[in-house]
Amino acid sequence: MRGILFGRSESRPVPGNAAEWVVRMRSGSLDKGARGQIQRWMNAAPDNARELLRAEAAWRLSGLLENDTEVQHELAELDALGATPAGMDATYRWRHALPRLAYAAATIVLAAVGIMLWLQNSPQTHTTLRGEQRVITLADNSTITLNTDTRLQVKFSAGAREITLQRGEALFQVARDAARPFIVYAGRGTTRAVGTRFNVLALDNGVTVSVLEGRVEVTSHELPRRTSTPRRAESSPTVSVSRLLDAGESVAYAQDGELLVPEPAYASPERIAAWSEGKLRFDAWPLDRAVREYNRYVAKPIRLDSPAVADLPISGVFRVGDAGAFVAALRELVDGQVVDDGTALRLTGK
Amino acid sequence: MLKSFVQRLGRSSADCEDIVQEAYLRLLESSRRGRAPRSPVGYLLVIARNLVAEAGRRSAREERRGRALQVLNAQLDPASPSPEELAFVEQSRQRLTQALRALPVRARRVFLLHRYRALRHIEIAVRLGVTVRTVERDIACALSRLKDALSEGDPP
Repeated sequence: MRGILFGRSESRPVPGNAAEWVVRMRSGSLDKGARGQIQRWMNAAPDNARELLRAEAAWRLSGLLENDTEVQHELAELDALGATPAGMDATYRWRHALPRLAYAAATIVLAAVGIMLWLQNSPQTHTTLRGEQRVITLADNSTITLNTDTRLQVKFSAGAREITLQRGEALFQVARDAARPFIVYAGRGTTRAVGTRFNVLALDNGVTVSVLEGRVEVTSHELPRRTSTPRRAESSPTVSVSRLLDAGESVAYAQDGELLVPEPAYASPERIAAWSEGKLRFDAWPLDRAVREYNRYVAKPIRLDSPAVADLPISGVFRVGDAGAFVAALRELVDGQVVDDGTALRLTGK
Repeated sequence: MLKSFVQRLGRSSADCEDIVQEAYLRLLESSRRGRAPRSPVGYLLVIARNLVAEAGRRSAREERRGRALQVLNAQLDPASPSPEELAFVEQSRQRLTQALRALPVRARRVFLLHRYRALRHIEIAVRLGVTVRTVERDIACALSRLKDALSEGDPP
């Protein structure tokens, strides 16, 4: 029996119209292959999705005719032909359904309004404030850990899971779904993964992508350089460069999309592991960079007033939010003073 | 064995709702990009109603649908459907009735048994003495005609 079912469904030709798809959708659960087929079919022409909705709507609206005299008459004839009349039940149901029909009609339009409102708000946006960190779990069980001062949007569709990292940093633990690549847009580049764990850091001066597990593809869209032959900016095409990154590798690209060698400090797996646990970790970081990193987490930044101390190496692990410990360490390191001027903590070396 | 086979054929599918929802989202996407969905508002409304009514099941989707539902509940007045809503339902009913009448006899019977008696393809096939494949084709054909009837007079 099972063999027959499989044989039949395998030899079935790919349905070419919306009504066939709806019939198939309603005849049982779809396997992954069938879902993929439907999605490819919807992608094939812009009107296909609309046709699918129309066919589905026709199916649902045809419920209006259940008590139609002609329909009931013909069904009674058919019941007389067949051995299993189920008419009593249907008639009973229908008599009690009339008040609900009015309700249903009312909900039709209002639901649409609700859906429209809801759709205007999608894709969903997630943000963290300075010093705040948060883990969100997505519909596919992927998780995103948002670091301090981060804003990203999540948009899931049939063909892709798309995240737009507008600012800040996020660590992605991606659930495997070969049919829907997981794509992170940040700056002028995209990072594409199927199932993996990777970190994306978007700062003002560029984006750094680091892979912890699995493999991702990073594509940056480089703005055209100014060349000796003057060209109008609009007509100059962007150049796309792609890199495949394996676990432990990282890449960076600048604001204009140019691929860069990532700063090891930003790309280091230790730093990423530390921040995802709410800690700042510095392994012999130059002081100015450590301060810049620290400032990402706090409302009141630290300013280095003496350039002489900028290159001093600093090491240590600090809890996010524990400003006191970091400032104390700085004071000790530079043997200087910290003055709060209201908007910033100014650090002066001796 | 036979029982589970039949259950499999008849089981309604969560995938179905997902796909409909995807199609709906796509359509709205394309309309937001400037390509207006030329289909009459009514179809979207019906789909929308069902999407909301069937809110549930999966976590994130559930959450989003739940939110839509909240918006709804705030506005819903089941006692007084608007004239437009009633007119839409009435027009649909008329168009569908005509389309059903115009169907070939076998296709109409197959469709009626499937739609209003909730019979499975294989049960219809046995009762009418045709193959399962014929039943499937007839249902699709009938549905396709109903779909076209609903769009009659709308811009293509």
